[in-house]
Amino acid sequence: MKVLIIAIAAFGFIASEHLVRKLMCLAIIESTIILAFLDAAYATRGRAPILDPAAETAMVDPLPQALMLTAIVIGVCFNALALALIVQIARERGTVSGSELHD
Amino acid sequence: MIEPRLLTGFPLIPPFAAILAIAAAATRRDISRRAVIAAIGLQIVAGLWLAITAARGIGGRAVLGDTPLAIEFAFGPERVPLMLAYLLPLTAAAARLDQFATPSQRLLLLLYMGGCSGLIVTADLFNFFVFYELMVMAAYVLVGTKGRFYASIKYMLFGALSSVVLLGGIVLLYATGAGFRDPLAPAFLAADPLHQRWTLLLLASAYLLKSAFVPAWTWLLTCQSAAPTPVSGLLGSFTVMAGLWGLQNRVLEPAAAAGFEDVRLWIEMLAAATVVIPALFSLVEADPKRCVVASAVVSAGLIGWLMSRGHSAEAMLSIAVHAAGNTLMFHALEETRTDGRFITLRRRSAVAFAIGAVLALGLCSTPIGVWKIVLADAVPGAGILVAAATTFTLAGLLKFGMRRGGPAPPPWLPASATLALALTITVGMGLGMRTNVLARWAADAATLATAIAIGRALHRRPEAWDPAWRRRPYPHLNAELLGAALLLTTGALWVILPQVR
Repeated sequence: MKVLIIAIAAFGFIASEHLVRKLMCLAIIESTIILAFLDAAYATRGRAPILDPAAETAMVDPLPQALMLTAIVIGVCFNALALALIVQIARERGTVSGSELHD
Repeated sequence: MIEPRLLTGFPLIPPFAAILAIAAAATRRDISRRAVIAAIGLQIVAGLWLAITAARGIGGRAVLGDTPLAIEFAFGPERVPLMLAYLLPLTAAAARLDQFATPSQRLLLLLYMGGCSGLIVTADLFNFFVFYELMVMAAYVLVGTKGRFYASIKYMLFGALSSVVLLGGIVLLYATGAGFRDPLAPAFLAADPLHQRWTLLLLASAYLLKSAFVPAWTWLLTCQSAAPTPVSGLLGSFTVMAGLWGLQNRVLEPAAAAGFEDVRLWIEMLAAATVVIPALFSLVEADPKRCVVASAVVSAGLIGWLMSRGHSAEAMLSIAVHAAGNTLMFHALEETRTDGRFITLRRRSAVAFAIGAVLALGLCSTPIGVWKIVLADAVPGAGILVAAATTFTLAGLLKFGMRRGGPAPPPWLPASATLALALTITVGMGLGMRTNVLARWAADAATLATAIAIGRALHRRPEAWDPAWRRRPYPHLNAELLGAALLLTTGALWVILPQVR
C-alpha cells in the first residue's frame, strides 16, 4: 500500500502543473516514508522508550521516533518556505503553472 | 590523534556566531558582519588544522552525548578533499561579503556554513541528511535573494526530491538491522540481496540527484547562476561534491563489499552522459554564468566516472582542484557585463577566468588533466568522449566575444588565481606528468585550438545560440522533473534485471 501511495504521489509530483499540487505530492511521499520508518521500528507490546531498569517488557527503539520527528520538523520548515516562495512567484509572474514558468 | 573538542567545535562555530549576532540584535546592535568574518576566520584556521593533521594520516572521532541518539563526528585523510572543497570557496566568500546586504542574509550564510561544516565531519548517515537539509534550507533562501524566486523553488523541488529518496534509503537501511553509522555493518551485508539492491539504489539516486547528474542536471544551471557569487562558488563546488562524496562512501564502497560490482556500470553510464551532454548544451547557452555551471556538471561527471572505475583517491583530489577552478571562474565573472554575444571585462578578470578554466577543465598538467589520461587508458573510448567534452565546454565559453572595460576586479583575484595554478601544476607534475610533458601539452594546445575555432564559428552565427534569435534549449519544469524520474527508472532496471535473469 505504501509503495502504491508513493507511486501515485510521484506521478502527481511530475505530471501536475500547479506548484502547490507538486508540493502536496512531495509532502505525501515524505509522510509515507516517515510512516514506513515508524512501521519498520514497530515492536509488539513494546513500551515507551524511557529507561527503566525495573521494567520487564522490552522498550521500542527510540532512534526512529527521534529521527522521524526531526524529518517532520524539516518538512514543516520546507513547506512553509516553499509556499511563501510560490506566493511571490504568483505575484511576480501571474502564474504558478510548471509549463508556463521559465528561467 | 585529532583533538575531539576541535572536531566537535568545528561545525558549532557558525551557529554560535549566529546566536551571538541574534543576541546582539536584541540590544539593537548589528554585529552580523563581524560575526561572519570571525566565523569564517575561525573555520579556516580550524579546518586547515584538521586537514593538515589528517593529511599526515592521523584521524579522530568525537561523540556528543552518551545515548543511542549521540551525534558522532569523525575526520580522517579521506575527508581532506571535502574540507578543501569547502574552505577554498569560503575564503573567496570572505572577500565578497558585500554581496550579503542585510543582517538576515549574513545570518543565512552562517546557517549555510553550519550545514556545510556539519556535513564534512558527520559520521552518521541520518546526520548527513539533517546537515544537508540545514545547508540547503539556507541556500534556498539565498538563491532567491536577488528576486530569482523561480530558481529558488526549482532548487527546492529537486532538493526535496533527493532528500525524500535519501530518506527512503535510510528506512531500507534501518530495516536490514544495520545502524546509520556504518553501512558496511554485518547486518547490511547479511540482508537479502534484493533488499540490499533497493537500499543502494535509493541511496545512489539521492546522491546522483544532489550531484546534478544527467538526466537530472538542468536545475543546477538555474540555481547556481541565480545565487550571489559566494553562494554560487559553494554550490558549484562543495554542494555538488558532497553528493559525490556520499556516492563514494555510502554506495560504491558498500556495493563493492556486498559484491554488487554491476552498480558501477550504471553509474559509469550516467557519468559518461554527464560528461558529454552538458558540454553540448554549453555550446548553445547564452549566459556565461550558466556555461560555467555546465562545466561544473562536466567535472562532476568526470569525477563520478573516476569513482565508478575505482579511482576514488584520484577523484577525491579532483574535487578540491575543481572547487578552486570553479570558484575562480565565478568570482572572475562577477566584474563582467554580458551584452548579447559579448562579455565586457578587465584583463585581470580575464586572466583569473582563464586560470579557473584551466583548473576546472583539466588543461596543462593539472590533476584533473592527469586523471583524464588515467580514465582514457582504463576505458576504451573514454579518451575521445572526455576530449570532446573539454573542447565543447571550452568552445561554449569562448564563443562570447571579449570587450575591454567594466569595473575593476579585487586585487586578490589574479594573485590567488596564479597561486592556485602554480600549486596545482606542481601537484599534477608530482602525480605523474613528468613523462611526455611536451606531448600532453601539445594535446591540450590542440584541444584549445579546436575550441577556439568552434567558438569563433559560433560567435559569427548568433542565430544558433543567442536568445535574441531563439529560446533557450532547456525543457520546462515538468520535463526536468521527468529527468529525475528517468534517473530512478534506469536504476530500477539495475535492481530488476538480475531478478528477471
